[in-house]
Amino acid sequence: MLQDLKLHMHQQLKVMEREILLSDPRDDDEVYSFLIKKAINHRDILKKIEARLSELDNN
Amino acid sequence: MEQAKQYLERYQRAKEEEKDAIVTEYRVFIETLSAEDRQSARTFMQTHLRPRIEEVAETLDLLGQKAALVLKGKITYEGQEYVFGDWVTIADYCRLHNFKPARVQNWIDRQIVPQQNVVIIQELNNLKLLKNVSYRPR
Repeated sequence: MLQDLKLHMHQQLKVMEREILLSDPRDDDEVYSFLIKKAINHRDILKKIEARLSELDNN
Repeated sequence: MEQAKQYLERYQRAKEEEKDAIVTEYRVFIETLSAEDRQSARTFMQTHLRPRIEEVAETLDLLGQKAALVLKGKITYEGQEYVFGDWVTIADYCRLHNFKPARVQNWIDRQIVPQQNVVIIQELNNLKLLKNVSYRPR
């Protein structure tokens, strides 16, 4: 399940990050600031998933 | 903003592995624009991309919720606790026992997998878990 989540999250995050870059938001754009924070949070979750998968691999 | 439109069309048509390069190229391009032209390009891109980014963000929220539960190791649903490993998704069950998903789904439909061994968590986009035990068709 974690492996599926990792793949799906990675794919969706890639889309989100690329399209935020294309959107070229201004620093004071509140909507985009919120979306960028979300992307950062999800990147952190992805790191946790990867760390957990790595632990499982080592066991 | 004709050039922004062309970049967007190229981006949307591109294969997955080509998209990063187009984004990089576009970022270089917008640095060459006047403040006014850059704002026009920005408005154009945001009008076309923002709804999709918001949609992707919603999908990620849902995946993040699932991930938080899986990382916790268990889920409590309608008063019952489901420990991951004892309960698995169809995909995981198939990987663990070397079955095809259609076959396991067929067992669920025919109740070879008893109803009490299947739980559908509506709050998590109908995530289906089944008890990780051996099932054999009659």
